Amino acid sequence: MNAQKHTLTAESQDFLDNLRLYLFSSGKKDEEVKEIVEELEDHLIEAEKRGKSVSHIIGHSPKAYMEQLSSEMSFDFKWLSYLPIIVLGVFAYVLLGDSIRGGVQYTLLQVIGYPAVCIILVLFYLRMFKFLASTKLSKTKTIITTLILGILPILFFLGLMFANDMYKTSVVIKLGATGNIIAALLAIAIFIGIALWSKTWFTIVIPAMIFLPEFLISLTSFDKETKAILTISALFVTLIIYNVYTFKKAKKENRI
Amino acid sequence: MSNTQMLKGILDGCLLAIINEGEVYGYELAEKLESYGFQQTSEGTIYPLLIRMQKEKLVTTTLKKSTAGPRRKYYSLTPKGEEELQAFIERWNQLSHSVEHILQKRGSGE
Repeated sequence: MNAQKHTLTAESQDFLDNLRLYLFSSGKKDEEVKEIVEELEDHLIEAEKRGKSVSHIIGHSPKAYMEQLSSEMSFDFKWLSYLPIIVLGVFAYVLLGDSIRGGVQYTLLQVIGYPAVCIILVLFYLRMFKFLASTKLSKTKTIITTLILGILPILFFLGLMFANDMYKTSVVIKLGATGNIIAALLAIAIFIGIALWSKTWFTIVIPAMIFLPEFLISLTSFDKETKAILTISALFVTLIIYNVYTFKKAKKENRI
Repeated sequence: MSNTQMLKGILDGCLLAIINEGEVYGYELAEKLESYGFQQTSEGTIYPLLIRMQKEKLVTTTLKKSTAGPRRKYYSLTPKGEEELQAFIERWNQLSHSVEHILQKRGSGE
């Protein structure tokens, strides 16, 4: 846009890209990341005009410099609010899996347990966000807290599963053919909803990759064993295709 | 103690002093620092310090358009920053006085 705009050397541009990624994956606030990257870009442009090298600016270890910057920047707790959405996604995932396998069937314990677990988790997360946003924790404590927050849903759902096996409560929901189709549609609607909300495709792409082959294979007339083998191989193939695709896409975007 | 370690605490005060001379942006600040003889540190060292000083409300920033590239961030001192600068100057005078005293005594052979 600007005719006078100086183009940075590849080395400088690389450093800026890496810095952005490093700070982003450290969960730093978007606005702060943008500001410091812009500021360093300006600095590098000025320095390069005068023939200085990148190492003159950032020292000999880009990583050490990134760590220095990162340690002064604040952590953005906004992204943790995605976790409840992930819980909803997991629920849709369970529902879709069960309905394709033709057996949405929940006991009293599950009917009460699933929503209860979801509500407990959401309330707990909200409290934790508030606590974390107002308290300055050390790096180790932040990592431990984040890990616990991440593992908690799995523990809850596993607990519910074991409890369901231990205490045989009566089956209260058992969907027939139509019910299963509705359940599947509901799950798909949740996936699409999350995709629209997050403006990403992955909640559509990933379930589709996992369930679509399984669904198509279940329609065929192969015997059970062949179906199982086909399902697992299809999963691997789609995962590989997806990885190659995203890798190539990421590479292409970086080039521009 | 290495040179860089010794510099760390002092650099904060020097940045405050340079910003006190008038609004500056990052590159200009690094250049001024260098022109005063701080050549050992890499230029980028100032940015983590500036981020912290901004958090501690010692400096404020304004964004201005520049002709050459992205928007430019200009730094100026807040009243709190001016206070901190005065405190630094006092601390520094005391310290340099003591150090000089010791070194001179040693130098004269007693």
